[in-house]
Amino acid sequence: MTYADPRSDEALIQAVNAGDASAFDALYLRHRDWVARLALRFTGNREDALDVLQETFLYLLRKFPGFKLTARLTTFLYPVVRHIAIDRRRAARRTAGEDAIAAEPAAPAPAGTGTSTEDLAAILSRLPEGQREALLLRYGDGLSLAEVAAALDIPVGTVKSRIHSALDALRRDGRTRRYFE
Amino acid sequence: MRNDEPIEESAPEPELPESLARDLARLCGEAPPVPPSVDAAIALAARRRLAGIRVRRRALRWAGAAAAAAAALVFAVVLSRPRVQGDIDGNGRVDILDAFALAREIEARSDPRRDRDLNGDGAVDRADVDLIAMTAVNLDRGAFR
Repeated sequence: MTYADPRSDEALIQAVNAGDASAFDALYLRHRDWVARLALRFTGNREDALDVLQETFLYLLRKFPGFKLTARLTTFLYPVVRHIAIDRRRAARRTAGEDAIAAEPAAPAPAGTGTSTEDLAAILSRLPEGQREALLLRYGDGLSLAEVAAALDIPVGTVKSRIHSALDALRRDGRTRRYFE
Repeated sequence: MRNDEPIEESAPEPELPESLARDLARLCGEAPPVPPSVDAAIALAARRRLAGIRVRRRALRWAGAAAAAAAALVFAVVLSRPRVQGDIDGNGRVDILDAFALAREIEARSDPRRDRDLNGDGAVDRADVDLIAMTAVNLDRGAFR
């Protein structure tokens, strides 16, 4: 599975609804890395992220035939990845015998070795989930404001408000204030 | 401002310093490598699931085609059957039931169909019913004009 299918997501979904497995392969390849990245952000470790990736696409597969795309596929996939990841974290915590179950996703792991990114990751991890996700979906994943709103199931005005609040928090923190100077 | 307090949708999007945008993109950065076994498992699951859809669609197509062919055959048989004058119920023959049927039709409708004027006298009435009845009992075959 290494080819890039020129068809749009809508056209591929129509083909999958008709039973075309290669169209599903194309959808999978197109969105796999984004889902894997998101899953890693939510789970905090690669093994769980790969399980979440697999479960997410199996969930999508079960929607066929009869699946209708009403927004971008990423906005459909985002809450699926999030819920599956949170379920896995809950299960893992139960297995570990912990009473308190946190629904907060893990902070993004710094990809580089630069101190600034590590500081940023540390501060992001302390932000409320809604603010962190709005910021990362918009500027990390490159979704539009409307797409972030659809993915988080909130109004666009609330997305802007959350981003404002997140930026305020970063501006106030001494470790990330330099971004704004 | 409270965290979730919405602001005007028309309000400008918050401006992000370029260096911060770059670091945020870097944080979300690289996807974890996905082993070929995961790709293969999903491809296999897709084939298993979608094969069922293809079979069902093919069966539906065949069933639809068969139903259409059967309907066309029935239609052709009905159309090809020679029309028998006096065969009111359309069963291909003239019998006493056709006489009853015409009698009921005359009673029920103030303007019976003109093609029911079997004796050609310009009226659809009891005489036409009698004509059918006579034909049915073979008293006067070929009485229709």
